[in-house]
Amino acid sequence: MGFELQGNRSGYSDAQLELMDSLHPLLDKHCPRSRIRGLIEDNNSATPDPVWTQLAEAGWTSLLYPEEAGGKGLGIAEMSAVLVEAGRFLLPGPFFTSAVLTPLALAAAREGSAADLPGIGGVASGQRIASLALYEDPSVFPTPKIEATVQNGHISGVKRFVLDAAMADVLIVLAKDGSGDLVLAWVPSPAPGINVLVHPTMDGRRICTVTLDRTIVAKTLPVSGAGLQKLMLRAAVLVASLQIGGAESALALAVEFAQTRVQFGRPIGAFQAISHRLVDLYCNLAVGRALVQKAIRLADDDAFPDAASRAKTWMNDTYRAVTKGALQTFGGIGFTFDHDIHLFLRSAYALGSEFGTSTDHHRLLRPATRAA
Amino acid sequence: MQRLQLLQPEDRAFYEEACDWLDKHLPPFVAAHRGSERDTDAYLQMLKDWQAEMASGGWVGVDWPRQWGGRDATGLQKTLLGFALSERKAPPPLWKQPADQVGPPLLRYGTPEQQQAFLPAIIRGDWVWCQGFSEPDAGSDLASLKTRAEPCEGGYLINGQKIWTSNAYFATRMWLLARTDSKAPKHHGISAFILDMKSPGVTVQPIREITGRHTGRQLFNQQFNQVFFDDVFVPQFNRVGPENEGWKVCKTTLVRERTSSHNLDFARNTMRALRRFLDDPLIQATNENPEAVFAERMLQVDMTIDGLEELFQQSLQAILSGKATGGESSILKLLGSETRKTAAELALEVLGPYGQLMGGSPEAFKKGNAGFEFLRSRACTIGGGTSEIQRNWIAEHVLGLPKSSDLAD
Repeated sequence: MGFELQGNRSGYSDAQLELMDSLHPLLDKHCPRSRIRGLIEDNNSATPDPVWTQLAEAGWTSLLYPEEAGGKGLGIAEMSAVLVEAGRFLLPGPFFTSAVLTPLALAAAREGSAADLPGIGGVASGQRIASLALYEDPSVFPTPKIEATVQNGHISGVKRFVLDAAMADVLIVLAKDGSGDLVLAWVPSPAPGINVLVHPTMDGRRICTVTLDRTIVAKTLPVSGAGLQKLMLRAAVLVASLQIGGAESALALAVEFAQTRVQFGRPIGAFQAISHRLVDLYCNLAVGRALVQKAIRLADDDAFPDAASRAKTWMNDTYRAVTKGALQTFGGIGFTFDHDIHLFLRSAYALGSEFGTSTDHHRLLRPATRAA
Repeated sequence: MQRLQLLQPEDRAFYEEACDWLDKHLPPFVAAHRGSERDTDAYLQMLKDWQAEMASGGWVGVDWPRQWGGRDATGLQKTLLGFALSERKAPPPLWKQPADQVGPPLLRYGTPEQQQAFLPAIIRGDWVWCQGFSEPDAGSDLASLKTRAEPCEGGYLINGQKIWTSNAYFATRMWLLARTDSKAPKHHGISAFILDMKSPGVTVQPIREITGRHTGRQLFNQQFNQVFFDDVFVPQFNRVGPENEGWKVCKTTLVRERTSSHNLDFARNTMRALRRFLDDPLIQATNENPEAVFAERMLQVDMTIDGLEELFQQSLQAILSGKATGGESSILKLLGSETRKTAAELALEVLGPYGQLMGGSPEAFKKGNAGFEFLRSRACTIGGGTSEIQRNWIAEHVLGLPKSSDLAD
């Protein structure tokens, strides 16, 4: 990864730093940016990127799964640190949906144990891939409007913006049961009635539309409205963690360039127009990092929803601002496909619409409440 | 202070000793000096009395060597004393500037005679001090200062002008930088002096700031004076350190390790002002009205304050565990000062026409504070290092970018 900015390690516990440091060499070796560039050109693969197997073998996929399901039983503080590191490398799916969203969703279930789900052990270990199908219209945040229905052990409906569904061994589908209550349906895939369409996307994520037509459901878990809200906001904070990492990398690229690119007889970072822009981006990123860390700290507190929305909103705006400013710093070369900086620009706009746009979170924050 | 457990035993002991002493001595002092804010003379006397009280306990110049009245305290311990004082809302320390700025140069460069003549006097508080650095043509580019110190029989004659001189109206001594060699490169022609403010030829003129206040007549507020020197004599004895090495001399500090807490007081005051802004009932009412056009901007300010408070706590933690880098407090100064201005602007706009009514108007909201705070806060991004200079510092020391080429050498 090379050059790293001061401040990337601020505010984390020793345990969090150890996780980051431990994950770093694996991603450095197995997650080159050329892979991400490749996914932007063609994201329609049936198999996961090689880094997924490495992560599974090294035990990273089981972090959030409960111990009784074969996982490590860790929490979002640990996963946040892991995702900051993952964000630094633009880690592609299915890690986020299989190792983060899925265990978060299962934890939101009102009753029933994740341990009872068939094949859960394989999902936790990374031998199998799970994909969470939440939305039918993701512009409705945080309370998705659900039409998909489970009846007599079969599920029908259309789910959209499902990550990595085409390579999933099981879909976890948010649906209604016969009484209209919310459930999570454990749906092995592929299976009769399932049709998956992978969309071409700006950042190479495999966003899928999944059509289900009387597909067999292996098991359902009831989920409460409150549980769902908690899932959405926790996911938002974890996306914000990815955003921190991505912003750090983008900014580091720009700063390194400003140190070395010579024009008018000196490195361009010697000009205040360049250096001041980078400083402002750096400072805003520092505030964003602190807001995410605060939200993580308040994960079990009444103040969490407020803190989560602030963290996500701030990082939405800051990741975008950092990547735009970074690209501008590169001048002409920043406009080329082969240069890496646009990968972060795409990521910033992608993650800025995942689990709440700034507008969505502003709506939640007004009347503006202040953390105690 | 919540983080006692982060401290090493000797630092914790130092802090607790300070707290115990203050808990015993401060309340009776405050009681005995009630009403001292009624006029400036009484206030100044109270500050002098407080220094005498603190000196009697050995709490003045704590980082100085013991032989000169200090405790050989570390930078962290000095910071802890500062926490203990501010937690108890102790009076402002009259000794802070001379102890921090004049003491170390004397300790490092002073002759034994100079040390004897000046150091105990600083501890005792014999004089009120001011700092003569900035000039009308030398602000951010301080090294370009032009006030001259020309050799004469027995010393030097000072001619020129200083500006933004806090405390000058009351001061009896000035820590002065003046040019002794106009031909040398700018950093190498400056000398440091202790100047008697009552010398013939010294004229102090308070500056009126944009709020309309003549702050020069106040103590320990944002306050500004000009000082004019017309053939002012300074004896040879009062030059500290070698001639033409004043720039190096005045940068002397005692602190071996970086405390990085120099912006902390500013940051703390800024946080307090921002929190007051958010707690203001009118601002809260604006918050709760979802139709209010200001709600978005309010939220942005609120979130910034939120993040800065978290960074501030992290910064404290880093200082207490000895891991501070200096970057944290620079970010707080830069963003804190910008946010204070934004908050003040927002408050004024929210009030609409009522914001225009200043202090003295019976219909002014909250005694016309919004307008005053708006005007006053313009200085936050200028004093203590402009935001532009802060950005240069962060660019160089945190981002590792080259020294700004906009700064001609």
